[in-house]
Amino acid sequence: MDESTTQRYEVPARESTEGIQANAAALLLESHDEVIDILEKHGIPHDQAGPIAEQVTRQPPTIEYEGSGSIAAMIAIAVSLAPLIKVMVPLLEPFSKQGAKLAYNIGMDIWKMLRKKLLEKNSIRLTEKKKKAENTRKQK
Amino acid sequence: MIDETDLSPRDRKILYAQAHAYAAFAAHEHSLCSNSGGENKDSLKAAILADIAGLHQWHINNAESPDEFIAGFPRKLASSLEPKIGTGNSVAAFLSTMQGNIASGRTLAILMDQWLEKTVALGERYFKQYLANRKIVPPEVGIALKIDESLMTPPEGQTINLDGNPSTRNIFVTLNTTRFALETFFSIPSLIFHEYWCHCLSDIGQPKSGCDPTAEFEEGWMHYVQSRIFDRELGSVLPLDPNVGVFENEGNAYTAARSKTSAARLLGFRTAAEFRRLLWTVNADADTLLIQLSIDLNQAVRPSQFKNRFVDRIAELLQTGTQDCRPDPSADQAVIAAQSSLAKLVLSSFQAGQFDVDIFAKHLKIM
Repeated sequence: MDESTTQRYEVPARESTEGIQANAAALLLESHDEVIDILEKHGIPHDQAGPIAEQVTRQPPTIEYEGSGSIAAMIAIAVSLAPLIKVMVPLLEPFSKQGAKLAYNIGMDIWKMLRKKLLEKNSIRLTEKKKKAENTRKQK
Repeated sequence: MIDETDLSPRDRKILYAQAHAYAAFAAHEHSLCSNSGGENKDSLKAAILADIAGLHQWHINNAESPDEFIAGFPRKLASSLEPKIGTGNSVAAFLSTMQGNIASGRTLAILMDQWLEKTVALGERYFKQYLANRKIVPPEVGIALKIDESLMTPPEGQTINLDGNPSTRNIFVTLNTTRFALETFFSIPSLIFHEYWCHCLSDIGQPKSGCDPTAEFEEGWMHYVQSRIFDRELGSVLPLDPNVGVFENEGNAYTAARSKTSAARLLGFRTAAEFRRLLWTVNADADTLLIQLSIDLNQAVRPSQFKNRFVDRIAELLQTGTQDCRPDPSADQAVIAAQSSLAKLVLSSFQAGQFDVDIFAKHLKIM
């Protein structure tokens, strides 16, 4: 996974990565208008934002299982926004010399919107990954 | 209004339904748990509470709205409890109370809003009484609910500025939907009280980005002071609540447990308790004197290290936690002399009804 476009979270062990990915894909598909708003916020003209949103909403983030969480009831997952960002880079080039950076910022805003929808509509909470407590006991 | 944006619909269903169930259970605990002849009351209580606390393991239909789910919860809980406690009059009364609470619309979030509102109103009354001579304005206080599924049973709190504005404070109450027990619910007013008195009223008008959990003054000394205020003002925070006794018991248990979570907190807590006993020797209204001194010191804009030094220095003079079991007359004499001189210093630091932090600091050789 490309580290710069990867976010790490913990979710309750009752959730599955496939389930979260399917829900995220469905939510992204129905978020055409919100994606247009985000694109416009980043300076993309309204008549150009629609076609870009059409493509972006078909590129959901990929979600992978990364092992146990900080407690047994949680699992760690990695969310990659690479597919979503990659598809945007050539589409944004006419609007910015730094198409990759703009695509990254838009991708992060889209993910923020999706994460909120996952909580509100599917009751899936993605918690920022915590560091496991270090074992401070001295070795004898 | 409380900020609940961190709660999913599932969180609302679980927490709000459980809060209604715990409030109704506490109101009917005696009759419910003495329902079956000869059965051990403790095991019956544990069985009922396990059913309520285990709600997060039930199948919860995503399509059902929180209101629909909560309205149907008493019936579902009744069928789950039936094999244990039957369907007698006490069960009917328990369910009827729960249904009444649900119908009144007093969700956990609304209750928390009310607890904060009463706490703030009480704080403003104390503000007028104790800080009238200082030209300071009490902070605007907000509250937000957060969920952390890695949290243990007790609720956790944090106080920071609201939207980065230094004249405000926002209290975050964090709960775990998989560990929301009866004692968690009943200790929330106590947690809000702690956050308000210890952290909302500290360094007034200054940026607040949380508090070091091992801060002797804010987390230990002030924790003791707020517990004294909680005891004497509980009726103002929870007026007309039929479960006021349960809130008091669970609140006190939570306060005691919280004071022991670090050596620094415990030192601050014990030093304030011993200091109050010392004040009794010089003034009949030791509580008023202790509250005045503590509120004055807490509101003062000083680094936390400065406030912690107060605790250290007073602990040193009072010999907090250092005396062993064998009496030592010579050491005791020295302690008595130090305590007597500390009492005099306290009284000489009061000027025109308020406590002068700087004069006291000089007396204690902190500055």
